[in-house]
Amino acid sequence: MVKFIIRRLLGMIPVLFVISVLLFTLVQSVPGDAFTGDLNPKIDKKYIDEMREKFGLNKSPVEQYFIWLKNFAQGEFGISFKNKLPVSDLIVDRIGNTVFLAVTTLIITYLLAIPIGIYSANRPYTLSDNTITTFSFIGLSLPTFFGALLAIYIFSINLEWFPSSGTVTAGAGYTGIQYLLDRLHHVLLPAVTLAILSVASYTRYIRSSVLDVKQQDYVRTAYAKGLPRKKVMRKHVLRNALMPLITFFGLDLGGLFAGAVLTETVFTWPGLGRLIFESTVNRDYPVMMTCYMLIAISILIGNLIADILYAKADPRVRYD
Amino acid sequence: MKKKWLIGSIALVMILSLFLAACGGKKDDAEKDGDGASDGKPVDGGKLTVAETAAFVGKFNPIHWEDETDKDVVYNVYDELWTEDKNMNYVPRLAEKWEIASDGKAMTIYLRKDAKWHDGKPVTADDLIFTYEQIASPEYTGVRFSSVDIIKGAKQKHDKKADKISGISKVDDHTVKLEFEKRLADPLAKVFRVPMPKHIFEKIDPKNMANHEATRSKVVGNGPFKVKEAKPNEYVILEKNKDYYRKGKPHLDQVVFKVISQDVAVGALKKGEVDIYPKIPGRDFDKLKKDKKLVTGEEQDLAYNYLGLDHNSPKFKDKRVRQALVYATDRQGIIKAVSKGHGYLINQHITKLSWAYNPKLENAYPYDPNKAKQLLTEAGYKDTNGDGFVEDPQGKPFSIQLHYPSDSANSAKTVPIIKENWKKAGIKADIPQPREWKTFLELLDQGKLETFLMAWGLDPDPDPTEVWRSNAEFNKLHYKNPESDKLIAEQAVEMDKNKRKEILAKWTEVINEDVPQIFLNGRTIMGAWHKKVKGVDWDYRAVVGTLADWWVTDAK
Repeated sequence: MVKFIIRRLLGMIPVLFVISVLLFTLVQSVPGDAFTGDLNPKIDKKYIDEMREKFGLNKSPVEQYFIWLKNFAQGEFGISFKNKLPVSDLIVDRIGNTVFLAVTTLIITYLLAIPIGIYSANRPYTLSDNTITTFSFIGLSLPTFFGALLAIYIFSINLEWFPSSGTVTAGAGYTGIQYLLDRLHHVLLPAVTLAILSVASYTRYIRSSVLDVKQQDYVRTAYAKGLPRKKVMRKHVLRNALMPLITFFGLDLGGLFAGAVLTETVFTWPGLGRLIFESTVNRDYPVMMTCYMLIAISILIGNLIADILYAKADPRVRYD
Repeated sequence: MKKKWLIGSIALVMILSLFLAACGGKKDDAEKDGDGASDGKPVDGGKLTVAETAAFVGKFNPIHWEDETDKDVVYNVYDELWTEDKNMNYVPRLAEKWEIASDGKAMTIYLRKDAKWHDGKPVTADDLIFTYEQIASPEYTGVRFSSVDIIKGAKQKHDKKADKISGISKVDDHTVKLEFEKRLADPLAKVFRVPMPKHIFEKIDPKNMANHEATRSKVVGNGPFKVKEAKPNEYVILEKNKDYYRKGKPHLDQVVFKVISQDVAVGALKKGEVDIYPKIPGRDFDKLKKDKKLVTGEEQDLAYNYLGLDHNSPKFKDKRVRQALVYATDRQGIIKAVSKGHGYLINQHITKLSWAYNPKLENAYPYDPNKAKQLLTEAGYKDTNGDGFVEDPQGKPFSIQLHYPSDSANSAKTVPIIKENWKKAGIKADIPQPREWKTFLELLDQGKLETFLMAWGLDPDPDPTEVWRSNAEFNKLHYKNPESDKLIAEQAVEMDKNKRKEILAKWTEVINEDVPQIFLNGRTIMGAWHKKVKGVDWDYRAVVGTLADWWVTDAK
């Protein structure tokens, strides 16, 4: 297993190299740069060109790529054109928020989706199953943006249960447990909004997976040898039916760093999603490249973790 | 340095403050209209929460800020040497007086002696000189050099040919003399006017100044408020500067700028999560006006929308065609349909608020499709194949592409109306796919857009040099007119305000006759606040440098 992990990690290097070349080409081929439109009739064009020179934008793309690669490999992510802050500072500033929101969302998703999916699968094509199916489809087709606004309108503005924006109460200066509760109070609404979407799809997958496994021969055998229903469900059905969740978990883990642009925007939640969006709009190359690479790396690692978990969960899967 | 030119905003700020702000000049009923004069005696204390619909970048530094949101903080934490009031007259702040040499080539600035930095040190001539030297330094990474390069010797320093700006001399601790490269019509409008503290920044490498804590969080200004806490993506908290030199101000103990999504801001205002929402889009403003808990204000802003015509295109060579295009455009209809009535007609590149505004052009080019047809016929454009659209004088098909940036919902609504308007006058228009903001600007730079729907933010000073001179970098119209150039050059050195006004009036009339671009509509700036907020004299400045005059009735 250790060998396998090392092999996979080494294999990532050429993959990341290819990804970085592709990303850099894409990023460079978008029209305009950080200083396009950063023009003001009071500013001489000459000074803008001086800025390009200062930030190395006048060099050839190939040259720029190798400078970037050399710095990136050494952990130097550069300075944001727009913010004038080191990219690492910008990312560190936001990564906590993103992870906090994503993990809360994931927990809510699993807590809701697994019981609902199983419940649904155990009563296929009944009124309750059909109701769940209907709501799942509504949830799936609800645009995040709209769902977020609806949630704010109901729970924040009308019922006043949750704050509508931000990650902490402005200027409250909470510490310790109070701070944690304040953060939790702020994260719940966006997390539930995001979770509702994934609950909808997770429920569908779990339902069909459980239904599928229930029709397997070994389940019939288990019943035939006289095992009680509950035990069959727990030991034979669920263990196998929930296996595909590992794949989703791996994907979710990879997507973690991509953030959620729309939800973050509506809830004024400063996460990586908005950083990626803003840097792209501003053509802030150092931030763009670092964020995209971060996403690429986390997807590769997410996949690796999913593979490892498979080996642990499924005795048929062996990597050595 | 007042209003940031809108073309220079980043796309996000652009979406929020530039294109959605298109709006109208109607007066509300007097009772609800924001007019701070009748609010009674100010009360000290209390807290005000202001909604900001774009996040801060966090560069709270007079020579480094670039975004409108950062500006809201900078101009309440730092004071200017002088500032423009509601009617765009200069009012002294850090400078108690100034003298301009009769040849317009020099000025002397006398600083107040009682102004102090937030750490108690006095504001002196050295601070002001240091600020100019910083901006002219070759290491400076910001965008303000153009408001210093008018000083003699600044360019030499910028180009590393000198260590110091030769045109600056310190007369005494509170007096600075500036010499200019050339005669200036209005030096007050051109000179950089926000000093920064020398004793703080002289220790900082100019290359790191923009990300230093003295810019980001531990800001030492001299204005009515201090930065208490800055979390740029979520909020900035200001607190009262008790030692502010304008005695009795500010009234508020605390101001919280809260970043909030535009879609949520209306609800947050109604609920009382924020006390004031400046810069409201027209569609939301009408809803808020009906709310009895709120006071609303709508005044003319400095921005206007226009359809630019590229004069390199043979389609726009004939003046009569350009005039026909304006006559064929129902501009009042666009204001009604797109801006929900929040806007006003405009026919010149000078804001209606300015002393230089030419009232004679108020009603130029009313909507008249028949007049448009007549002008086209005169120019030889006739419908020869009977498809309802005119062909050019050579009988070839004639159609105009209407380009606009995709980030703007209002532009997307404006363009089809123009197309329909023009159809009535027999002019064919096509609407190509809109382009993303930076892509759009890149194409504009390359001269690949024959028309472009954009906006200008105007300066209080009416000088059109940088935009309208034939060889001006920002003359994206590629418009060349020797007569206009001559008038522009004359007004730039005319120190007599009345004479300058006459020259500018002539210039606006030349432009009006020649139609280099289609002026669409001027915008209004709309704000709404709770009744407890008093002293708000709503105008184009919104919250820039105005917070010191405001108070709340629930102060404890």
